[in-house]
Amino acid sequence: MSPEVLAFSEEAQAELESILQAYPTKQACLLPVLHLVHREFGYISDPIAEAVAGLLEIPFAVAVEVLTFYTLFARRPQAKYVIQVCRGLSCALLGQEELLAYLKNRLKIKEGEMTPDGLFELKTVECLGGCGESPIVRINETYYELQTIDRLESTLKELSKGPKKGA
Amino acid sequence: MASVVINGERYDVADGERLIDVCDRVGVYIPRFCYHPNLSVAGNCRMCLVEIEGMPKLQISCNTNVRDGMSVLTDSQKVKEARADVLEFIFINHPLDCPICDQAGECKLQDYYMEVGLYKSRMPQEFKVKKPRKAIRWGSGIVFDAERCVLCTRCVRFMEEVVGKRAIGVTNRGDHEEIALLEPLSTLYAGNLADICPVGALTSEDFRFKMRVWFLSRTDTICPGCSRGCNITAWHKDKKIYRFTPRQNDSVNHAWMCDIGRYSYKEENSSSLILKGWVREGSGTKEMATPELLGVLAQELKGLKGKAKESSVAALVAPDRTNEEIFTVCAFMAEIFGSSRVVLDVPAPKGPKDDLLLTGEMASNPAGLSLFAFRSAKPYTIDAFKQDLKEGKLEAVMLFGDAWEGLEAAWPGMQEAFKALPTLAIFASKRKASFPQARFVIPSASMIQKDGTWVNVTGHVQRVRKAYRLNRDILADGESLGLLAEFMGESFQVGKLEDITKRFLEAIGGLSGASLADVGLEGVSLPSEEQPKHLEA
Amino acid sequence: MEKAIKILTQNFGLEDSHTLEAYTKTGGYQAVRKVLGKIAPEGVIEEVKRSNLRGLGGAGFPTGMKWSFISKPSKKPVYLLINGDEGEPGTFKDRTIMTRDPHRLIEGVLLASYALGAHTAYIYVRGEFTFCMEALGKAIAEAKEAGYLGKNILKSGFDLDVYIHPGAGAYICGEETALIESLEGKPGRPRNKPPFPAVVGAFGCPTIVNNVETIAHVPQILLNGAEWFAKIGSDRNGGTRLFSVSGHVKKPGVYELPMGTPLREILYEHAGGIIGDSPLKGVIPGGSSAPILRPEEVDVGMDFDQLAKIGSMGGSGGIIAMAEGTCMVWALHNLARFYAHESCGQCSPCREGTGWAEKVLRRIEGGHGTASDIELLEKIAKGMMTRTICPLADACALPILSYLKKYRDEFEAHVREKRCPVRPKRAA
Repeated sequence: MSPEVLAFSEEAQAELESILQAYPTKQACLLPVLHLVHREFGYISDPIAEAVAGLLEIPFAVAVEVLTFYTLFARRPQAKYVIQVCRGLSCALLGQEELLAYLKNRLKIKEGEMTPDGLFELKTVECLGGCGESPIVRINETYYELQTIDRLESTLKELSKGPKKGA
Repeated sequence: MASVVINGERYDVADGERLIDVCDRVGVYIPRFCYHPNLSVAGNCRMCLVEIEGMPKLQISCNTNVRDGMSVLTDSQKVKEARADVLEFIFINHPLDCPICDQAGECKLQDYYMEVGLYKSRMPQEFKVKKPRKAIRWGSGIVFDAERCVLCTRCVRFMEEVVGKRAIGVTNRGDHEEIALLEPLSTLYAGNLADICPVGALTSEDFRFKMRVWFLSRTDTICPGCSRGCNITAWHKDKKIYRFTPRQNDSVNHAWMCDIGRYSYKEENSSSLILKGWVREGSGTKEMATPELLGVLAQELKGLKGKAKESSVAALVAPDRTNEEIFTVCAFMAEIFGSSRVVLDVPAPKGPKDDLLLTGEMASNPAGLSLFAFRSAKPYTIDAFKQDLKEGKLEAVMLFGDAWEGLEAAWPGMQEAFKALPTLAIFASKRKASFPQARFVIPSASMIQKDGTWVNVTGHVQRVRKAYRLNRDILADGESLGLLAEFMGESFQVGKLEDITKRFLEAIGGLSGASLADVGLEGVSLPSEEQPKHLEA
Repeated sequence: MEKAIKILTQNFGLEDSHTLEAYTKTGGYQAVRKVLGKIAPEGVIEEVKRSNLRGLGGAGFPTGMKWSFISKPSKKPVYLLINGDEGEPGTFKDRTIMTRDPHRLIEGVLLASYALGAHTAYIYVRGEFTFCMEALGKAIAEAKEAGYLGKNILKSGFDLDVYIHPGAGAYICGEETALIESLEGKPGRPRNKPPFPAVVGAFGCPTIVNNVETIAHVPQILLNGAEWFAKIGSDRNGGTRLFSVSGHVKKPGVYELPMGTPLREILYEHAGGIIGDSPLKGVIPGGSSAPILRPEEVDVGMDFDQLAKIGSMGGSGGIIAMAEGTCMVWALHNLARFYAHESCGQCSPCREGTGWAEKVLRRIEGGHGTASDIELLEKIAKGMMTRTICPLADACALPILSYLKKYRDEFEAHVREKRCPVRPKRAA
């Protein structure tokens, strides 16, 4: 697939230009470009990866190796809200297991699953580096600190109000 | 120079040489999975850990360069424990499928297990990381098994560094890491992947389940595929070759060979070979035992000897014959017929050419042939031969060899031109080589059935070895010519192979005094000024 | 409490502490004015050496000495990489600098680049820390605008460009050669050494990798002098460091304290003691890789050397307190799972060993373990230690061995009773 797959917004195009001039090699642009593409498309499938590889003149294999090595890149479409429960030791010491059990029950999904309406996806992640305000739940890119079941519940309610995915 | 002590023995080595290479050379074997002398150092398997004096941690010998005064232990208790531990780690997620694994017998896991392991498994089956991708056809003759893989990345590095194509990658991480084919292999060098895989993760589709390796005999010889002359091992049993694998020779092919050469073993097996000779009689052919056949040929040739001032007998030698055969044919023609009409500039068949190994000359010895041709100031050329043929100066022609496609390509109407000849005899190994109009087809020993030497494209003289002889009708050309002379009432002493090799090397210059023993397993290179001239083009 | 010395966090209380204005008002970028073009780069390195500044990412390697490994003049460009890939469980300090005082880091980057002869620096920020990237990005733009970055900085003739490089979710990229690989656009698999980064680093060029906190100390060291900094800390451990305190303490958070501050003081004075005034059961003193300490060991002075002396390590300064009632098998399983998840998969002992240890611990914790599993766990830990390219295997093995040594009875009780005797009720 050709790089034309990557139809960027104007803003993203400008960001791409600034990424390209920040590094001495094109391959070094891979992580920032993948982040950019991930933000634009929401996930990075093989065809998108192929297009990124073409853009940066690197082998497709390298793009796939990088995509599968790092944990922040989704390979298929995700829910509108990806709930990441930190299971690092500090969070675990302060009730993370209960939060996770609550979320599974409340959303009626298991870890790694998505609610049928595509609104929520539940994941556990390793230490998010927010241990001073444990337990931590990260939803998309936002950290929710000092979480309790009540606080989580009100966040979920708030998020459920917004338009559903694809609506 | 550096002086190093390995297990108490002192060795003088080049400063900065890789420790594992030094150990290999002096016969101290260090187990390894990821290290390969012709690939970059990955340092990931951790099997080659050794103890170096003054360093608290064990060091991997593949990423250690020797320094003067270095003292190394490769068999201390500490090293043995480390090896056993590392091996156990590599084993825990490995399946127990040796009985159905084709790598059995040449598997490094098996070898090292017997050597350092022999512990009971402490990893219950249900705990193993599951990698369900088994027996996946990768194309280009390679079959992949994910759960047998030890992630040494030799295949990744081979594709990237040798072939220049990043087709294989490592996906995921930790104990879920897997080797993955991310682009089609599409290379003529894919067969090497099965060779370099230290375990049963990459196996050869062609060889799989045909034969357990421990039943096979090995003969170290040279690939007949092209003029590179890759060093190979022929694996055979009951006079049948099962595979060719490359043999390490850094002056020629490193540790690689192309798939054209690799699968050319099939053409060296009996179904492709002439097993019994024949003579054309009228519209049919009559099979004959070789001595009998040579007797008939002798009768036809006898009358031609000394008939004219200049002999009417000519010979052509194909670029796949050994140096010794070239020499013998020339000597026979001179001694028996007083003929210098031996054509040695028969071009090699053309084929694929690349920057790695394939030379484009699909015959094993064009260099030897042209070197021997150029020993004489006035070689009898193919053009002179054509002229003589046209003018009817020739009454008999003998052809030696199988690789005539190059000549035919350069000489349209060749078959037609031969038709007028009263006597045409071909000494050939392969069915496909026989000229349909030849009166005599005499079975000649194929590469696996004879000893001798070839000169490769860079002027490296290398040894071809006989593994077996298929039957009594197949003779080496020297033997046939000896019999032929005898039936003609003449005497032609073929001499021992050693002597012929020596005389051939003397004749071409540059390696005077060198013997067959000097050629050895690794071969010897001609000095650059004596390199085959045809290569300059 | 007596008046505490604050270096890195001195501006944290200010409104808009992250702005250039706030930073310059409190002496920011004064060190650059003092040093650039006025003190030779060698002099800067010498000063940092004498300050006893140590690598605060975890290794504790003397910073000045590291800088001196760059041979000069270098025919190739020199790169300075700042390690902001904060990911060691229990550590959350670099993010505070990046968000609350990013100019302190930028000034440090500028000074360090000047000392090293680097004209390009990359700040590698953990992928999840988008807020850090945002704050740093704004600060870099401000600094550039004010002439502290770019060409001919403060007319000194020195040029420097600083870029942010985002990580993407891999703890191992905190290891300096993995960070370099990651910067180059590859999976973060640590490199074999030698060659060391100072010789062959990023893009094949000489490279120095320093932690955020380490570099943020540099401006004040150069402004106030090496002796001032060295005096603040303990023997051979200069200055202050940021201790991240979490777990069962009343006031978790980041505390800037002099090197060598007793752990007891940090836990009971600064962090307010243990939740519910429960007895302490154990404490991790330097990030999850550090061997655990028992309550009777908390009088140790918190610096690299004193902690090493009692068999633990200073590491990243991440302190995790565990109160009585915590199951140590469960805690260790949590850590082993982390290392198994984060192993890059390259070296066989780590790739297989971390996962194996996790499974054995899961078995023991779930009440399915046998007596031989405890020995096996010890064997796995010892088997992977010191035998890999990078220290991740050791980071997993060291806690295992220390928990086994210090809380062995608890492991044995799990096996004996075929259940967790400490926290029998588990969340579903």
